[in-house]
Amino acid sequence: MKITQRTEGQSTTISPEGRIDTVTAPELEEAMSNVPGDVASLMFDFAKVEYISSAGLRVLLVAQKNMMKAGASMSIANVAPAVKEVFDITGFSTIFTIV
Amino acid sequence: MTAHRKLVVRLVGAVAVSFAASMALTWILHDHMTSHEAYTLIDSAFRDVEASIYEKVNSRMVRQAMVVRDRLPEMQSQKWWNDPDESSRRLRALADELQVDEICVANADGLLTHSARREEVGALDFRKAEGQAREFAALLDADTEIAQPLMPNSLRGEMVKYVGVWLPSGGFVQVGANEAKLRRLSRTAVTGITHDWHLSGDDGYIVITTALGTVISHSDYRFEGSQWTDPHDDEFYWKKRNIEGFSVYVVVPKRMAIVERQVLVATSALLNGMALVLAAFLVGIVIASYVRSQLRAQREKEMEMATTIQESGIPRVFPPFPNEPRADFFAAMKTARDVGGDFYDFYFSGPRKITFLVADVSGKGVPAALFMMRAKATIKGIAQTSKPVAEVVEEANSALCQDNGANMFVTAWVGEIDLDTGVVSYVNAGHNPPLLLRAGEEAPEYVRTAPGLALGAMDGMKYRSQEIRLEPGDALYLYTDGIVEQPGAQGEQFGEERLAQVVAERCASCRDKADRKSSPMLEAVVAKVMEHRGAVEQADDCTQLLVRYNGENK
Repeated sequence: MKITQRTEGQSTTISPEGRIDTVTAPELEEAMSNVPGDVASLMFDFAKVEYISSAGLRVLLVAQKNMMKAGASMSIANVAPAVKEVFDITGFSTIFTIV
Repeated sequence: MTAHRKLVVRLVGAVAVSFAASMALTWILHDHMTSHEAYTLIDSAFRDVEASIYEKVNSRMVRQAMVVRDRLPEMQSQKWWNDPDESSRRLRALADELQVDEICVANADGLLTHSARREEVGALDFRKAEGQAREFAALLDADTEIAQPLMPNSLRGEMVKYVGVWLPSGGFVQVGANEAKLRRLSRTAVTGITHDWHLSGDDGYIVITTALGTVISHSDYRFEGSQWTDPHDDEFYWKKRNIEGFSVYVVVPKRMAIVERQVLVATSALLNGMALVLAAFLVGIVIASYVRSQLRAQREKEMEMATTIQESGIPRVFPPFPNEPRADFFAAMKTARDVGGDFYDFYFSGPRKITFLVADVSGKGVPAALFMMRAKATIKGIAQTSKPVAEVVEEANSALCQDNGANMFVTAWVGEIDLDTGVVSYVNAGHNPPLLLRAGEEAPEYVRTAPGLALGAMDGMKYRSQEIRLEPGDALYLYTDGIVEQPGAQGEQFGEERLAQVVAERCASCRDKADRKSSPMLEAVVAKVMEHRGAVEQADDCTQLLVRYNGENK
């Protein structure tokens, strides 16, 4: 899976591409570990994400918890309908900020 | 054979293959190099023997030309000398005597004035001639001799050798001999010239034979006079060439052919190095494939274990409540190869109440299976305290958030049916919407209510319960995402629409109250999903639960 990561000041944007499933989720988790410790706002740009499985949701959940602990904000942008549906069905849209 | 022994055998095999490849290459390369060396030697021997034969044959022919020159003053004093017919006849007789087949005389201007061939008299001007004859015009300007090698003569259509000697009175004498005459004339001169002439130590030899193969010169003189037979290619490097009408053979025995020591050492070192690299490469391949197969076996074992854990934890006996006629429960689970952590459950949670649920743990394999056991026990433990379903789910969520360092979570649709009234109180914690099958209606309907968060994800979440009232004959169909998200050949998911369609087609069968053991509808759904996936692998566990409310009046 191709993942681009950009940090400007205290904002980091992570843009994964393709399917986030059992095989590719560890790569996204790896990308998370490169986020600076003092980040104030983390954004996932999901414009090129076609699918997300529970393994992908877990990575986002861990990220959300870490950001909350650090007092930073996390958001997910440009979510495709199929991915939004997964967020809705699993109830994760109730804890994620989807913009 | 054990995997370890197989590995050892393969490693030895890899090294043996490398060694054999190196041996074969060494053999081929050395063979090539020795043959190249041998032929270089043979070619250089040919240059020497050719020079030697030329020297002998040329001097033999020049001697004949000189005999003619010596006799010329006497012939010129005869009165027939100026008669072309008679002089040609006389010169022909002289040519026969000298064992040549052509004698001619050119004057100081290069004009052919006398010849054993009558027709040539006056017909050839050497200064203006072309090709082979032109060379002899040099004798008009220099006091010398010229000998040409035996070569094809276009006028006479055969091989001819010409020599010429200058005349003190101007002009020159030219003598020619065809191949057969030349051979006869120079045979004695050539005989034995390769005596003791060896190459490649003492074992290579040079042989000259006549046209019929009689050996007239041999490095070993004892073979002279014998009949020549070509050497065997298996044992000898050899070449044949025709020089001045004689067949010349240069022969080197293969066993004596050698390559320079440095070259030998260098190529051997190189090839040994290559063998080592090849061996390392092959050993690498063997070990990599061994490690891969070990990992695969280990993974398969782990998945087997996960399947065992998962399947041992779910109720398998139908009907589960044979003494309770008011509701029936049917369930089916088809696990994927990479087991996904699905489960279903049902149990009494009060004197007139049964709690039922379908759930799906995030992740796969043994961790998912273990979390499934934990979730199942946690929910059951709380549900059997007869608390309202929303509280059961909230408490279960909090319990599952404790000591959950891996951040696993489980989606669940938890319902509690009141067997007296048919009212189902339920909470959807991040699970797929179930289908409601009303007794009087053909099309089933998805029960879509905004789901709460999957359990174990975040502590302190609030869950709200909702209610559906089932009438006798109504049913609820629960399932996991393994069914709707199964991709087909083109990647398209099975989807809710297809699911609703299969359920609609088969729901009549599920209303058969006589059958309390199994539901053909669940089998039909799995069959459709498997048909949809075709050659694509089953992506996730497919789990279904059908709850039928029969009511009091059975």
